[in-house]
Amino acid sequence: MGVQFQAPLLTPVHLGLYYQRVKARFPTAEVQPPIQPVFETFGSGPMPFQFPLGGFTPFQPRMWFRSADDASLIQLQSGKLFFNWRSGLQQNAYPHFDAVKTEFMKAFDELEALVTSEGLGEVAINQCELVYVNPLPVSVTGVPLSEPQRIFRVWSDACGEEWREPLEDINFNIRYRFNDTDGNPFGRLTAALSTVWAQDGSQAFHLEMTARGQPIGSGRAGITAFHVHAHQAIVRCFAAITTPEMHERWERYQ
Amino acid sequence: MSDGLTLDYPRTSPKPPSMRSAPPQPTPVAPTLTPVAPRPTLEAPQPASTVAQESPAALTERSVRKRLVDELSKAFIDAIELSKTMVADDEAAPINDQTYFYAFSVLAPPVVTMELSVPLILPLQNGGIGAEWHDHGMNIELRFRNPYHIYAVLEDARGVIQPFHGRDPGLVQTRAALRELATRAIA
Repeated sequence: MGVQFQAPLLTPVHLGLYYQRVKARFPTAEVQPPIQPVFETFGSGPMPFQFPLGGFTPFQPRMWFRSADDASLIQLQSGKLFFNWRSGLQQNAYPHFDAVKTEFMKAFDELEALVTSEGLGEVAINQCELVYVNPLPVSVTGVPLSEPQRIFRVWSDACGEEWREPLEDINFNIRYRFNDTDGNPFGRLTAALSTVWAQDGSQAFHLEMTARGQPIGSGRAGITAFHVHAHQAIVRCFAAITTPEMHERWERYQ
Repeated sequence: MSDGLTLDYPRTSPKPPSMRSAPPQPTPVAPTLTPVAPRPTLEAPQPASTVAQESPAALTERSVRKRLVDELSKAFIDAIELSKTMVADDEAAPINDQTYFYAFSVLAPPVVTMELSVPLILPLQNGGIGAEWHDHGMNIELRFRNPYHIYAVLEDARGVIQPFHGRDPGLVQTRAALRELATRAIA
């Protein structure tokens, strides 16, 4: 869960000052390469290629600040702030969305406090983002990679008789717009389905659902409104694109 | 592919934790929601075996698109260099990197899909980016002042496209002008 902001510009000094603010809860710091800005755009089609990086600004690091139990992580660079939950080696329990949202807003409040104390102006958010990764191991679902239609209702195996070869694997994206009450787009939900092989040889479908777009309103409320909208959209979309067979199976784990 | 940001699914683990976890647990059918870091520029994980060898025909198509993107990228990078000079001379504010990426994200798709000539890319005094086509009797200017703030100037000496001066964040007006420009370039 996170946000992208065009101002203020943060230097590595600011990242260090931020670390001091969160160090008690996120004691471990790591340097990572930066992530490019990304926008949901409308009216011109999807980006055909990744934008080549370089030639623009000096290297600006992205920092990871990890919690002591390795269950959560703050990522900060100039232009981006994210809070991540991860299961980690200790197999931490999945947190509820509200818990993640609360932790993210704490991280955001720390950023705003830093920006204020350093006289950097205001944090100008231009994109909010929520990402869920759903690994669907064959060992759990019982569905081989050749039968994605048993998990995903958006996929059909209704091929013509001209081709009867079994499906080997699959990889596709589906995208949906978020429109406001006037019908103007402000964001997008992308579901990316792929197949993966783990190092132990096990196989899985991998469904990554990303909701990204402009905040719904200004300030903190606008960020929260987007994240809540995104969360609801992802949950509904997930339920809609997966099969009743899987719904029944997954309910056993609740 | 993982860049280390798929935090719940470390590929280096002998048995990924996520593989041991329960699958999606919706209410009533909500997913097992695992917020992870954004990976906006990366594709979803895929095994090496799914990366098919491209045919020469596909490469031809792709190489045309890549050439256009490369030319557009060079135009943007040249604009940055010009901006640095302008900033040094106190003639302009530095280009905002997010405006820069936003402008590229908006411009690259139509340039590639319509095979348009690469526009003239210029830094704006306020730190924004401008893109201009002056071809085939058309004057198309897009000014990216901030992300989602696009001001368009559309003029056509032949009168096919109606004059337009105003904000066009969804490229509603601009798209028609660009299509006309592409048509004239082919003719």
